[in-house]
Amino acid sequence: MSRPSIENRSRPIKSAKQKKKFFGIGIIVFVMILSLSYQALAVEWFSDNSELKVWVFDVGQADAIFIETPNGEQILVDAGADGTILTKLGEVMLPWDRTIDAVIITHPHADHEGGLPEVLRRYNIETIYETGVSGYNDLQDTVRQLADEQGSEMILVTDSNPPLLSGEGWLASPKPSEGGGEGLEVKILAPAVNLQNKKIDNLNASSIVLLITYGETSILLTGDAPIDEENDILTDLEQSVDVLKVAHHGSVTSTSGNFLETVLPRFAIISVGTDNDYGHPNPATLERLNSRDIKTFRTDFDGDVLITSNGREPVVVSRLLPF
Amino acid sequence: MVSELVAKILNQIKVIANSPSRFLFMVLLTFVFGTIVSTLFLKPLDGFWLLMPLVVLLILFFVFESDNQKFLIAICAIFILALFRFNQTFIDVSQPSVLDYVDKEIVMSGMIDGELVPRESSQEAILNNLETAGTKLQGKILIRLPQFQKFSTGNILEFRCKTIRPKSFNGFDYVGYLESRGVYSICYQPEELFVQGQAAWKIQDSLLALRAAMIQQLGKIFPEPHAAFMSGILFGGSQGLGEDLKGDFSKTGLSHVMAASGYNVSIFSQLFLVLLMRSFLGRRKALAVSALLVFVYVFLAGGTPPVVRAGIMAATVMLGTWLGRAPRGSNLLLLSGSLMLLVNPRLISDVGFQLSFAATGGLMLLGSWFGERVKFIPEVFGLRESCAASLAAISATLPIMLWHFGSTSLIAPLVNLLILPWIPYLMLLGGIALGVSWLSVPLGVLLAVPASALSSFVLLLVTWFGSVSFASITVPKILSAILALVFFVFMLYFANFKKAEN
Repeated sequence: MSRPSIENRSRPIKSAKQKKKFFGIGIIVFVMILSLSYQALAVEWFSDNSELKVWVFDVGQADAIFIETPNGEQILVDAGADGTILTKLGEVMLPWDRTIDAVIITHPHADHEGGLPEVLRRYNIETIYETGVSGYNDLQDTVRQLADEQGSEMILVTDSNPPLLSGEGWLASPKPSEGGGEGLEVKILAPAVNLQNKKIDNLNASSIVLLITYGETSILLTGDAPIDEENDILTDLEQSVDVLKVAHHGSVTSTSGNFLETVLPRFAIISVGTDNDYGHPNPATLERLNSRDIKTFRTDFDGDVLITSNGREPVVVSRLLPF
Repeated sequence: MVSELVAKILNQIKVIANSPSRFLFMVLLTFVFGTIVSTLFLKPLDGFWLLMPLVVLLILFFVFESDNQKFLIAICAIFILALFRFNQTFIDVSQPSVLDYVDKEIVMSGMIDGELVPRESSQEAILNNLETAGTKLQGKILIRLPQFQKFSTGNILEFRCKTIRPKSFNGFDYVGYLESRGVYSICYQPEELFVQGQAAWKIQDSLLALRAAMIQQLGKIFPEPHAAFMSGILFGGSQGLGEDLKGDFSKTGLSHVMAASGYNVSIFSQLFLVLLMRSFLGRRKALAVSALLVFVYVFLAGGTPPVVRAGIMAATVMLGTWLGRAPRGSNLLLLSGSLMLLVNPRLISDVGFQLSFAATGGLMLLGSWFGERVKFIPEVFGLRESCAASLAAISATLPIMLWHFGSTSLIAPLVNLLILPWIPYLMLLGGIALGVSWLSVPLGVLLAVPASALSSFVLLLVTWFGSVSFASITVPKILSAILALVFFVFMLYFANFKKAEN
């Protein structure tokens, strides 16, 4: 018969109630870790960091494109029509990430700039690029006031601007690990003239058009550019592109056959809302894409579309975000 | 035979008249009954015809001496009081009102009353104190304001508009919903709109501003959709939640969680009590402070019918404890209902009001019966209890859901059982993060991460169950009316049956 040692006796005895409590807390922590890991997997939070990621979000009848550069800088091209964009950003950004490096507003229509006030209220945005063209006063005033309050820099751009991201740019981007070629570059192809405070009939024609290149990958973001503006940028395009964000939600007034013949995209993405009032995308546009064997994604059918590139050919997939 | 029955009834009356709590029960029940009768049958009357009998009954009350007689007179008086109050809610056609200017383009001014609600491409507000060309108008109007212009509660707006009468849609009684808020016409496109001034400061305004600040702060520390979900469960502001998610909540029978329902109020009042009872305040002061905090929370949570209902009940229980009396559950429920109807009789046709009372009543009436029948469910984590509670609340609200929406969620019992246990923890974690964020936003952001994780889990469950094809069924209007009636009769029978058991 050995007497219980002192250490044994002094060990606190856990009551059944305490055990139950610890069990409960354990379950809660387990569920938290589980759901965080699920989300991390679903949106590839921690995937290969040398990749360029471009999300074309499903935000209804509107445009919102999110670019995550190989060194982790974040750029939002258009902010959708309303707060819907916040859910998308909340899913693809880390939960504690509250800054976006740059926002580019292609043109001041509500379906491109409407969500920006909400984004500005939630996130710190370092720089906002726009053409300065005169749009809807309420919306533009709200955006400028909010940007001013948080000290975001507003930069007015034309196609004579130097590329936004390049080897020596303000966001130096590393060269791709594979395939060689240059580092990430975001080049402004349009508009050609300074539009500050100008009133124009068709705001779509003031759209900022962006060419993103990373190694062998090239992506063309066209805003709502109509056929005339598309023709203007053809002269600046030196090579065909891999992915085309189809202009103006697939409207028949953009994406001419001539344009497609020159740009020769392998993939096209149409950002469009289910059952929208405009009949977008137009069957004629779809036919133009289809007859040239361009693999076309539509956000109304395919949900959120993700383009990834490690510097070689891009991979384009439909990737439904959880919410 | 007849005399026997009369004797039986008289005896019953005697029993009721001599028991204060039964007396109160009958009085409150009569008031609610009177309001229901009014909403179904009452046409606008000159108030005199109701005030006269009321005065007569009041005099008779003091003339008669026996308890039985006093009781019967009181019941009649209360019934007429209900009619009288409801009659007051009709617009007086002899005086100018917004109804006189429907479909006419006029310039008018009015004050923004309550919250501004963001809509898809606009924001909505209710305007009170309307005037046109120096004439004061009765009634309020609903106005759609430009999306990006900044307005706030108490702004006095001047504008030109052609107002129209609201229409009900998809079986939803929009007209009744708006009338219960005193709104009789809508202005969709105000022109020449400008803010003319600001009404005097009111305590409600600062509580609304506090609520808006809380919701905005949540948005700063939580990513979406968790910010909208957290503000939904904490303050009932679920507007930021996308249409898809909202649809999933309603398909899974969980909308009540988002609306800052009575459930949230009960969690809060329990929390206040637990915290304050242990503090230096002492029992009595703690009760008083808790009741005050519940009152403030009711405002913060938007003052919707379910929240007010739960708030009154919680405060009454606290008062009862303070006085050393435990009020009867049924009286408590009827008391809060009657008080709310006394203030606004039109609430009787509000779906939220009906659902909230049905759910609570169902819990009281059917909870233990279901408890007996779900004994196969293990008792761990209060599973059996919450299962019985969910089933009771769902069966009691079923007739109302069918009546108003013609559809019902089939998986609601299961989903409620899976989701509800997480809500208090989510509120706790979110509340801590929110509190800390007022000291330091980055720290708040960090503390919000575990809450976001838990919220992801809950929202994922909701979206998964919402996408199940048989999540909800839609019943044809006639069938749903019949089903609602059958259920209602069943409930009445059951209530009676249970009484007999006791």
